[in-house]
Amino acid sequence: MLKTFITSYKVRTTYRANSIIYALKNVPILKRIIPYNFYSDSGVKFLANFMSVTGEIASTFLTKILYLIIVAVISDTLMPENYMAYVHILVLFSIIGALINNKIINPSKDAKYCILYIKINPREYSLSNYIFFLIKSFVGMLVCGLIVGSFIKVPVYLTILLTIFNLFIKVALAYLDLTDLKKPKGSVNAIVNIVVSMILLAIAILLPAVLDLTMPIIIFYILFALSILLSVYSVHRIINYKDYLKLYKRTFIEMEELEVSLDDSNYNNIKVVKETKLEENVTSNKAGYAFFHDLFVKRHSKILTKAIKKQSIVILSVCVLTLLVVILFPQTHSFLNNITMKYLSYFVFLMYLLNRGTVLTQAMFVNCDHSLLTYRFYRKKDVILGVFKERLKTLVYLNLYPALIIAVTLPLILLLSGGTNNPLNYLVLFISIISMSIFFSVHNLVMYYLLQPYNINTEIKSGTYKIMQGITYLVCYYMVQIEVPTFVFGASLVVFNIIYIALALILAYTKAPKTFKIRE
Amino acid sequence: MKLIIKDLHKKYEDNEVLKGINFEFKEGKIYGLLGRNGAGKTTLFNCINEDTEINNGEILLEDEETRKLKENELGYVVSTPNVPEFLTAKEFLKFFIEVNKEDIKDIKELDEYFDFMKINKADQNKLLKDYSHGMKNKVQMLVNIVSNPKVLLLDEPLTSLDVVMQEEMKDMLKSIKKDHIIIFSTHILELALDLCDEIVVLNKGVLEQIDKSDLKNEELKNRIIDALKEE
Repeated sequence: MLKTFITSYKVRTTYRANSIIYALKNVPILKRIIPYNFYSDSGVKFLANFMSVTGEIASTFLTKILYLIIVAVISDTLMPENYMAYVHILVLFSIIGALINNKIINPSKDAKYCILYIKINPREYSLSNYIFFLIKSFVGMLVCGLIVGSFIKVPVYLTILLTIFNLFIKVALAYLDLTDLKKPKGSVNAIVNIVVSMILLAIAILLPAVLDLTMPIIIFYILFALSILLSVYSVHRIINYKDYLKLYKRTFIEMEELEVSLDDSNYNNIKVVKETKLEENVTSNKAGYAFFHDLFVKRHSKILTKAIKKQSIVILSVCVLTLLVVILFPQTHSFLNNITMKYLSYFVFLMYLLNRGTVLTQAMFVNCDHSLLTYRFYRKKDVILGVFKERLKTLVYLNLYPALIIAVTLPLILLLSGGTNNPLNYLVLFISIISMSIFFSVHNLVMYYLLQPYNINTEIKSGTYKIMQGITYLVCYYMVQIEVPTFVFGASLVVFNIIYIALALILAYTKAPKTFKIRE
Repeated sequence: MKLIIKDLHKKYEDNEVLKGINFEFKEGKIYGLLGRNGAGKTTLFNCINEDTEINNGEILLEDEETRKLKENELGYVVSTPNVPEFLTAKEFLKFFIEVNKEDIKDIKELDEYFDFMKINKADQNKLLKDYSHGMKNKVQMLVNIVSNPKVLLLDEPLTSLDVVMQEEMKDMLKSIKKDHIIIFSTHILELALDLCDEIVVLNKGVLEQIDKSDLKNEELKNRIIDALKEE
């Protein structure tokens, strides 16, 4: 088993090390410097491996210490100077953790290499890696627990017991991961887990917050004993489980259905992006590019229009709720009035987060351009620009749904919370939000057309694209810190947006025919 | 009409795949492009199709004048068929014809094209995502020949087709070869000998035409294999 683990660990670090080198090779300036045989250079390999392993150790301790600090801060806020609140929350959080972050079957890329290609025994692979996960978690929790515990004066024996409980409750519930995957897709277990977790979360927070209560220590001891008993049963189930290979194969297939091999951080996004259930019974009366694009939008309505509408409903509810608060609680007026008059800059970041441009352009690539860009006719200037125009219209239009709701709500909040001396402020609020929405739609689409980052396997191959995404995020984030009157900020923003949009479109129209192609 | 390749070089980082290709492909012939795995057949096609930047050299078309290929003068059928899965075959063809109508001489009814390619009514209205590999290949081929490009590159197009489809496709290629330059890459020697008028071998980054004259089939086979084996 140890041998299995070492092999699989080597595969994982090699995979990570190669990813690090690969990422470096995709940074515009570095890629010219880095030589062709960089992957086989033993010094580089060692350094990348070293970075990968230290990264793993660092992330283990960092996440644990962060987690425990958060628990300590919450407990100390709810019940100051009472370490039982810390124990109470940590016990319940441990159970939640065991329910939702406790995987024996981990369908990662390197697991696939190990099991399907290198033919490592899937049971040994799972168990050895799970034991490694437990050890990592145990050591991290113990060390960080002792540090954090000492600050809020938790007795050392209790910290040790909590750490052991954290370990056993994981083992006790681990077998659920196996039964979960045995059932057909869309199993109820995941939902049950989430519901139970929500209830536990509510107990963890509300009991001390509202009733000023914590669980009696005896309950913890009972749970502790139960976790050990259940662990014995769980270990028996896990060891005697026969279908590891089948289970892995199924999860790999589910993984492949996403058909996208973007890096793991993008994994969740891509789930939304690959549409496998196309709306078949729709047609279009249009012609040319409009016909083509119309069918694309209609057949992918689930990830395009319907997703935006859902988002809009949520935003509408929040807006209505806020307006109700304004009407019902006059004490909020000065605060909200201040926000609309001084903190329009916050909305840049909000509009950035709400804009679905990145997801939509990803959807365009995965479901459409990926196949068509291999055709020469699709790369003709007029075809690229024809389709671009249709897409721009749709992207702007779709993102305007949520934007309009916010753009109408903000002036209303201003009006109901005491108004303003300069009526132009209402208009500026409205136009700023609309212009921000159009700005992000244009920005995302133009970035996609100018830096089309994907290769034929839908892997991101353009470092520049990632850097531009990062810059966009940072700029929007730092906008939050700007504090100027809404009128000045809004007016300058609108002017900036108009200039930017004009320049971006000129750039797209002149450069896109050359840049919009599949990466090598 | 000729497709002229002059001193074509292509490197991937330090690895030079094409090392100065000089060749003329002539109208009315089907060229069988043979090469071992990794010899650079697809790279050569990608260079001709401008999918990838070339490091040196020129690719020109000579008819009344000698010039670069225009967008609509080249068709490229890739080995793994790529089709827009959200469209039906009919919709895809309709879109294709509408955006290329200026380049297509005497546009026919959609049905005529499908009849030519032997794709039946029911299949025409099915989403392409539900097509088999071979059927996707047919659609890809159809879209590539509708605009009647002067040069047609085919990267292992028959490998995934069943025997009936293979025969249909072979007949189709023979029927259109008169006004075209067709370059056909394959691993299957028999297919190349059966279908192609000329055999070209890509080995060690250069192209070499195999002289077929006066050779019996067996001798020709041996000569091709020798050419491929050369280190």
